[in-house]
Amino acid sequence: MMNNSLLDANTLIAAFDASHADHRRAHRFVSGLREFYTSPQTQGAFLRFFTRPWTDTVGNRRPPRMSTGEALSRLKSILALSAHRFLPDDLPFEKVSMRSLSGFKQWNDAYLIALAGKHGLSLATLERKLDNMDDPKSPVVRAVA
Amino acid sequence: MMPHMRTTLTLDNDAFQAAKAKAAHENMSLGKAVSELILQGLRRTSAKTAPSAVFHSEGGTYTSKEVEQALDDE
Repeated sequence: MMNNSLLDANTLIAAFDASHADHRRAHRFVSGLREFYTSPQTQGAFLRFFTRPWTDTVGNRRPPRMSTGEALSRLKSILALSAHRFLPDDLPFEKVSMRSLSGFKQWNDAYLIALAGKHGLSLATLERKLDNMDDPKSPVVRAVA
Repeated sequence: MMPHMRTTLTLDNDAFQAAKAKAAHENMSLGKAVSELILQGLRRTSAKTAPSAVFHSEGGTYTSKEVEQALDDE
């Protein structure tokens, strides 16, 4: 049970990009899953992250890590893996729990928790910040060990 | 040192010839040549059936926090 997980955007990125500091941990986790899921929301976040300009730690503006074509091609390779399953974003926001929702940055996380829960999946995340958004009676969030 | 297993095999003639040629060419025993060929074949099969889709993006190492910030900034 629960050996199937929806990956949040950061876990999806970390599992497949060796440049992510937590790549090995995330990749090991995803490799151990029978099925892993992505949704339009996490796929879109993956594409936006790699194709946006960014600012490095000393404040320099840097070009995108990938062209749009490369990012889409990387995503396609992931979606083609035999363990991958597509999960539609088929839940209206009115069904999303307000539990511990403290700011605008958490709408996406709250939505993914509700979506995974609806489909009997866990939501895999590398971060502890989602723990307090989970319902302890029927936990959905699964920390990537 | 890997443990060894003594056994008797009936090989296809062309497989035997390939193993014998490898053993002579690389100056190793026939058993060692057969072992290496088997493991080589296994590695190729698993690489084919389990594509990794892993890549290495440009721009250096980054953390979960940087991913979160980038996605929050939109």
